[in-house]
Amino acid sequence: MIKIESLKKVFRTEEVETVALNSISMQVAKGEFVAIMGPSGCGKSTLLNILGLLDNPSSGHYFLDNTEVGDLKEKERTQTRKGNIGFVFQSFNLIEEMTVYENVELPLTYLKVKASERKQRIEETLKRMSISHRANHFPNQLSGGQQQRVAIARAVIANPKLILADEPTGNLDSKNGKDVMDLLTELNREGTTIVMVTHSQRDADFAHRTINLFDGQIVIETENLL
Amino acid sequence: MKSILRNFLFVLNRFKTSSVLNIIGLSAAFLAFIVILIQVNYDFRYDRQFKHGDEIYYLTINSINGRFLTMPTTMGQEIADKFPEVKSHCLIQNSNSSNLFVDVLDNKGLKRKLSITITLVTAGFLDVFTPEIVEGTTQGIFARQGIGLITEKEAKKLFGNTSPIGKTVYYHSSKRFYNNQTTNSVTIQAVCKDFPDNCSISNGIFILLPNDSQANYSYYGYFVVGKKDVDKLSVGLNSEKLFGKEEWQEMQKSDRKLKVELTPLHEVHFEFERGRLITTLSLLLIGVLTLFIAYINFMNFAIAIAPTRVKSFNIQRIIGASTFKLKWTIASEAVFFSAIAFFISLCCISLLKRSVLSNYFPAKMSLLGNWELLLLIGISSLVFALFFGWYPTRYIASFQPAMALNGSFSLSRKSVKLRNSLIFIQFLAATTLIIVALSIQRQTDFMQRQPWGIEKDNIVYLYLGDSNINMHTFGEELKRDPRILDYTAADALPGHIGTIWTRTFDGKSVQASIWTVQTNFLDFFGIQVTDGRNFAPQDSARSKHAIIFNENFLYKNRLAKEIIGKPFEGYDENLTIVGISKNVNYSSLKDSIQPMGFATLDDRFMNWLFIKLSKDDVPGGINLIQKTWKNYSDDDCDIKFLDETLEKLYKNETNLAKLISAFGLVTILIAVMGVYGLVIFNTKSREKEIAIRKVNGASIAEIMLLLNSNILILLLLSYVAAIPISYYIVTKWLQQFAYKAPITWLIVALTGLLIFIVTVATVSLNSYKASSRNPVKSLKAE
Repeated sequence: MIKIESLKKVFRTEEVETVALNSISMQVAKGEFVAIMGPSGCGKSTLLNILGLLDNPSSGHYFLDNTEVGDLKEKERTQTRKGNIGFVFQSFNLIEEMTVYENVELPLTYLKVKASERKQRIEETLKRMSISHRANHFPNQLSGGQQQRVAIARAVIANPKLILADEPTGNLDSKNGKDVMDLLTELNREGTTIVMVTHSQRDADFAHRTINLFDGQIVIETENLL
Repeated sequence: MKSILRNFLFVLNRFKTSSVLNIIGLSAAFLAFIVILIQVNYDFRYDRQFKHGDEIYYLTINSINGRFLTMPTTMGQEIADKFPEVKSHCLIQNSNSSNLFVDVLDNKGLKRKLSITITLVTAGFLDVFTPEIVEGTTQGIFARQGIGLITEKEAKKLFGNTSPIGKTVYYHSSKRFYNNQTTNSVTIQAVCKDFPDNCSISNGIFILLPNDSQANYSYYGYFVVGKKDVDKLSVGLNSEKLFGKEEWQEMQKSDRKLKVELTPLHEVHFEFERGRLITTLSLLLIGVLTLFIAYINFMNFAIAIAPTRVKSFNIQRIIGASTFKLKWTIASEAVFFSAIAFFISLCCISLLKRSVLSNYFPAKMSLLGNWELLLLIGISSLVFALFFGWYPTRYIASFQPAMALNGSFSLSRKSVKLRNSLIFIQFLAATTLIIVALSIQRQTDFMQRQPWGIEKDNIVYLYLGDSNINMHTFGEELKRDPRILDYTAADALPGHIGTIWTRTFDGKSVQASIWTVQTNFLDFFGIQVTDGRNFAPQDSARSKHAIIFNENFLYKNRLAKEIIGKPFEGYDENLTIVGISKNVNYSSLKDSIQPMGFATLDDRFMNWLFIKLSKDDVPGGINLIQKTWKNYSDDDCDIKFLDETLEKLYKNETNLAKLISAFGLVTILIAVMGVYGLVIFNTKSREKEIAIRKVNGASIAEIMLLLNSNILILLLLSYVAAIPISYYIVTKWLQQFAYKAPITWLIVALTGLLIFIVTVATVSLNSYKASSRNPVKSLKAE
């Protein structure tokens, strides 16, 4: 599903040039659950951003479903992202001025799904994430675990083929963290491809495969034997 | 649309302080801007609304010594006969008091007295000013006396809802031109639409101005000339063709150099009402400035709150919202704010128009009457709003979505620079406005304090021009009461001396303003005679009339006091020069004192009766005059105080000073509100920094200095820049005055102090709160 070849990302400021990703090549198959690990500053998040089409690589190729997407323009990236990729962030990134319901609804409105259908799908998803009773609350009225469940609900509502998670349990206690990991695993079993950046070995153990990054390069790849 | 509205409501709620400050600031600015624009529109459309508006010309004769604004009736006809370029022409009576009392008989036959303007016009009035007839016929209306044309509103005032056609009103013609008062009648033959307020024609009754003597230079002349023919006509008027060879040569002598000039009617308003154009343009500038400053505030707030909005903007973008739509949503906030402020300002105008605004602006603050202008302002405010709303939007959208999500971040260096320059501009404008306003105020005070050279306290005056009252009988009766000290009479009020005589004297052409007065006038007003003698009672007798010139008459015409005893040519007799008086201000202090003479002529010229009251019982004196008046006349007794009237000569300047001060304060208020809002955001975003500094030992004072230094530096810079700018403006403005109040550093210092105190107070109020807060709270909050 994902195939990247000699991917490079260089950040330039007036004085310094920083190589965040140094000729990375990797593949993620459809239905796989991949964890990316590594110390701070090794390029994990940069890689995830490129995979999520939030950023373009400096050079190299990125094929998503056999289509080259590495050099798309902003508009085309948005278009490709819509409905295909779901995001889960460490800091949840819910929109504070919207209710839980509206936050989850957002991707569907951009996909122009009919109102009646939207309602049904949101209710189903919220139920599944066990936060139906919080539908009319605002994000700051929820606990961290609940907020992350809303974020996941928002990520999956459009049935994306790929979910990208950036330290999804980073701001959660261990119990809430495990709940979130269970949710992700369940989604993966249902067929969603997941790429997750994490610091936690325990979280990484949920994945099929772990990729270790160091200074912008892949150093080790391990298969998890479950 | 729904999401746009939703977003705006959220912004209102989430950023309450900045929203409220934005709305107040923009509303105040719109209020100022709309009021000013209505006035500017009034001024610039003055006399432009006639059908032939662009082709009507006002004829004046200029000479080295001044400008003659009027002409005799015969001259108008002569010009029309001799020059085919003149399509039509009209002469209008120049009258000091055109407001007459007329008697109207109501349906029960009872007499009612009402005041109305009666204007004497020649037959060309219909062709030149094209009144729109709504009832009756103009057939032969200005062919003979006794019939007239009336404007709609005035007709309603006189006759109510009944048709005015065929109705008759009675009026008393001035004794000025007839030795005895006569009662005349006018029968209304036609009704026309009202003329607009901003034109030279007053609403009322128009009747025929009959041909008058060739010597009576009393009428305003208006000519309709095709645009391309004006130059040709102008050349023709300044030639022998009009005046005849001999007179033309006489007129071109070096001490006269007469020139006939045609001024487009719509330029007359600005050209002849001195200071009007400057006032109008300054107001326009201030209006634009105020609005500009309010929008700068808006932009400043928008930039200040931008960091907190970048995140939500980019989350929506990642989830799939189109950037363009998001941008529009944010840019539209400016439009909403503008619309709300616009609406509030309209409400304020309709509340204030009768009480406050009408004192300062001649234009009517009618919203309906100015709907076209308001529509225009409304539409352009939308454009403004989008313009000023776009920068913050672009700024918010300028981040890579991936970067934007990584925690909090502050403003870019470029934005801070922009924000600082915007605050600088605001302070600059506010400081300049205040210095200018204070200087204008000072000049006005200065003029009012200047000695006139005449006594003006406890002196009242009455207009006798229209009445049949014998001033001596009336005055002597008053004088029997100890509350009345004395009385005298003259043809004009100080400040309104209009008659200029040009005479050949001592072999050269001399010129002087002539103030026709009673023989006791100089004593009454305490004017000193330096050479020769004062007037004596016998100087009032016909053929013994006398004249006293001021010192400037000698000086300007290079004459010596030996002229005393010589004859000086009057209207139809010779006057004897009996003395020389000190220079007194007889006109506004905008002008320096020019050659002038007091002349004793017939009583029929004395329009104004001056009465000196005992200062012990001024109200009693007024009462007595009113009571006595009733025995002489049915008309109202309209008593005015001389000192108040003299002060009104500077109404233009006083008003301008007040308006500029008011708008200057509005501008300062808006600017300070902007700074206040910025400081709130600044402290909020630096809460953690403040806490860390405090934990590491910074004192409250040090923290406050840290928070305020930026604003204080900007304040200082703008203050320094404002000094030369306002100095330049004030110097330019003062050029119109003969007597100038020198520019003083006190005003500059005072302004600086005022702005400094207001700003520091505002800023400190906020930063004190932040710096005295327990640091642990801020650190925990993160």
